[in-house]
Amino acid sequence: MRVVLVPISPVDLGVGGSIEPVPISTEEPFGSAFFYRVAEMRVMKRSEIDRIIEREDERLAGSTAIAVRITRRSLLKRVALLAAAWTIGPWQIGVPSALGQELNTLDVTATIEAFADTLIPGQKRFPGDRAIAGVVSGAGAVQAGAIEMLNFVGFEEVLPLLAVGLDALAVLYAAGHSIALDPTVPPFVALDFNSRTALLVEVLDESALTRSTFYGIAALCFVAYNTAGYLPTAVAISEGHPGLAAIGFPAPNSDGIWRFPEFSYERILARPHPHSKSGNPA
Amino acid sequence: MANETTDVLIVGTGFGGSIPGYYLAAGGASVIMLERGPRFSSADFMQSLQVGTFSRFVDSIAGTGIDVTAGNCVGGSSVVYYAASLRAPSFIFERRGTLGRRLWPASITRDSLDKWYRRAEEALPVSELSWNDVPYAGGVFAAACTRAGHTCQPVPVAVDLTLCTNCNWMHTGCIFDAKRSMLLNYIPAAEASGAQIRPLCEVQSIQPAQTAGYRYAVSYQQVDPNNYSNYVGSGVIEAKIVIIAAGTMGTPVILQRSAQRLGGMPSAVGRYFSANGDRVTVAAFDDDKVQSLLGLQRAPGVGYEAFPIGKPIAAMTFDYLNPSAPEFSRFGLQQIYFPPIVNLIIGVDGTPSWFGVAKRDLTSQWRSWMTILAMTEDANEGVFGAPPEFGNFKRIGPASVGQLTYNTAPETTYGFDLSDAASRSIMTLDGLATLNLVTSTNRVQCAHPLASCRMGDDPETSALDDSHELRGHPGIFVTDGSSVPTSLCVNPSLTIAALAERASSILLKRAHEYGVEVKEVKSLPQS
Ligand SMILES: Cc1cc2nc3c(=O)[nH]c(=O)nc-3n(C[C@H](O)[C@H](O)[C@H](O)COP(=O)(O)OP(=O)(O)OC[C@H]3O[C@@H](n4cnc5c(N)ncnc54)[C@H](O)[C@@H]3O)c2cc1C
Repeated sequence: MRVVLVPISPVDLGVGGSIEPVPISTEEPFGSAFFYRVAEMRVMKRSEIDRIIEREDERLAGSTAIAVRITRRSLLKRVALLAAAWTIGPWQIGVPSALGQELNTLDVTATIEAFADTLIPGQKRFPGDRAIAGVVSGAGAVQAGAIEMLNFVGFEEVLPLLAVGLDALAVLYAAGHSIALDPTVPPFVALDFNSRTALLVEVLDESALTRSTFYGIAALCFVAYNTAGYLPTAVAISEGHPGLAAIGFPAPNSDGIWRFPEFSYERILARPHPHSKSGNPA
Repeated sequence: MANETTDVLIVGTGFGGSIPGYYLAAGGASVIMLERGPRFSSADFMQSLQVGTFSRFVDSIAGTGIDVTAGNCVGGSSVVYYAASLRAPSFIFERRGTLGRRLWPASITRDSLDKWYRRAEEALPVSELSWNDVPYAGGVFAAACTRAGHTCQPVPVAVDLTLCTNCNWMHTGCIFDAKRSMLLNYIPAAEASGAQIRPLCEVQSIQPAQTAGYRYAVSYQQVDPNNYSNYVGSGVIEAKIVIIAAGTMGTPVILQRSAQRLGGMPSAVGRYFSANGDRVTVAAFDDDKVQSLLGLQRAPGVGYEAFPIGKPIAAMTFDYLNPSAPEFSRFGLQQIYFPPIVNLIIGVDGTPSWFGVAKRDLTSQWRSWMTILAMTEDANEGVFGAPPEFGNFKRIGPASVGQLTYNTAPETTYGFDLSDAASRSIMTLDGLATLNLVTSTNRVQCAHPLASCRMGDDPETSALDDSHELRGHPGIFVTDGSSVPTSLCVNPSLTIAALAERASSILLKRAHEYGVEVKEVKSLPQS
């Protein structure tokens, strides 16, 4: 049976703001609208968040749409957490550990891996791999160490926050596009590759308020794949780093140092500008 | 306790600091040079893209609408630069910009600067490249230019060709001491003459001195070598002459912060910043076409596929530097190597434009890429906001966030469009390559910051007079890239060096006016 998310009515969070996640007008990139409202909210305490979720549970009691309930519940929780952290400022501090512990580490990793895989896709690592969409053969950002890279620069602390944000955005996206989300995996992971891509195009758009948060993470996924930035380059090459191999980064000499004794066509390949002198313009 | 004193206090050890540091010390003045960054040498550098290695001595500073890369170590940006050493074309010195009047001081023209260019070329020294020294990427660039009916020539570089291994790791510091950074010429010569270099000392501000006979007191914080946001001490040094050469991203910030204590600053301090019109594109070559159209083969069946091999800059066309063409339409077009850290920003056609399957496919052709740098005439549209409490910018986690805003002016965009079209017409002819723009960001990518404290003849639109002296503050001189009035259509280091050579000779002549007795210095640094 295909469960379609029904648009939910504006939710009063009772903390000086409300969120209006769906339906989303097509004129307005929902990433911006969503974050605009969230950014206006003040920090919420855990107890406040719990109270809101309880209220929603009560309101939904008796509903037959189980999936809708689960998703709405997690949406609220995740949005609330995100709002709390966002208000504090995404780069200034990590997720307060009390909030971080709320989240399942596996879910966080899967969501971030799915994000990395959308940027630089790779093949599935094992048959039931859900985080990697598996749209190409060969390695992608995940195999090239996107998570290692994020941890290397000390982002372990913010990953739960980012996963929360991405999953909240994924739920909104699914709702806006009448997509049923598999409740057994995090919402972003539940999206197929095309939906993940469409969502990230909006999230990473230069004009979106979500941009500054997620562009830095995207950049690190590229750094992982294109440079193995969490390893000395010579070591990465000797370990067969799949990203460096994929782009064709050359290997150093046997002493771990790069030198290219063969480097030139050794041919005159152009005539100089008539007014140039000793290689300089007139 | 009395403050420490010196004849000459220099802030920064790049081209702008090291060159006067040498001349004034050799002339007999006591010289202290304060450098924010650490001191490294070729033994410390590593051929590695690991995050946290090169980032110890080079910063990427995010402004609004712009990202700027600049050195943070003894030797400054010369330690990480690509050593392309070019004289600016004559028309540059006649530029009028958007103000409609001459921007350079009347006393500085290409003719008048040539003798200082020559000195800098001899001191670094600069090598002219023969075609045998031009790596594959420069060869492909040249052959593509020729096929499209253009001229092209090898670029002079400050490289000892006998030591160069063509490893293409200049951006992480040369481990072979082949690249002639300040660490190998002016700095050792300055130290041999008694100049003291103090790394990890970040200058914050300047104020009037307390001690009789000294003019200015310079305050600095000592930087924790393991965490540059952390200060582990502080100091004040009083000097008769102060030379600010903290680079285009540093100099205006120190001066802005000092405005109140010094009783005002020229309004051009922190204004008129130029990104040297830097514009990056990437050509991705069809290797069969490199062989069939350009007739190039570097191995059986392989035309090019050599982006990571060689010196990073080796070939350039001057065809778009027509002195009689209108301002903002001229540019230098140059082949350059960007390490794959930069792969993030390069774009593909369609949506998404910088990630996803198509981008991954483009990246798999990385060895067939060639980055192309156009240096256009920008409109000096950058403006620095209020300085942070300490330092030149804020270090927030892995990011450095500065106060510079660069809202690309229509004149600049016009130059970008023309240079993109030129690159496209040369590189994509008969399907030789595709031309890929930077699409992940609208921000200007700049490694050549200039003009944030520029000289000129008009006090309204220039901070320095034609002797590099800060208007209204006798004895404070600015000799780095921030003093260069406009973008140059070529890489700027040789012009910064030539201006610093010229300024040094003025300083030697005028030092006595500030109570510093020095003798004439004719000799170049011996290396
Ligand atoms: C990757 C890269 C490649 C380049 N390639 C080329 C090239 O091929 N050809 C070319 O012509 N140009 C090139 N450039 C540009 C060139 O390197 C610079 O224009 C030039 O080195 C600038 O010299 P400067 O003296 O103005 O400033 P810098 O060399 O940047 O020196 C400023 C110094 O001041 C220090 N400082 C800053 N603030 C303070 C403070 N508050 N207190 C104390 N010290 C401070 C800095 O740490 C630095 O050492 C390149 C630049 C980069 C980043």
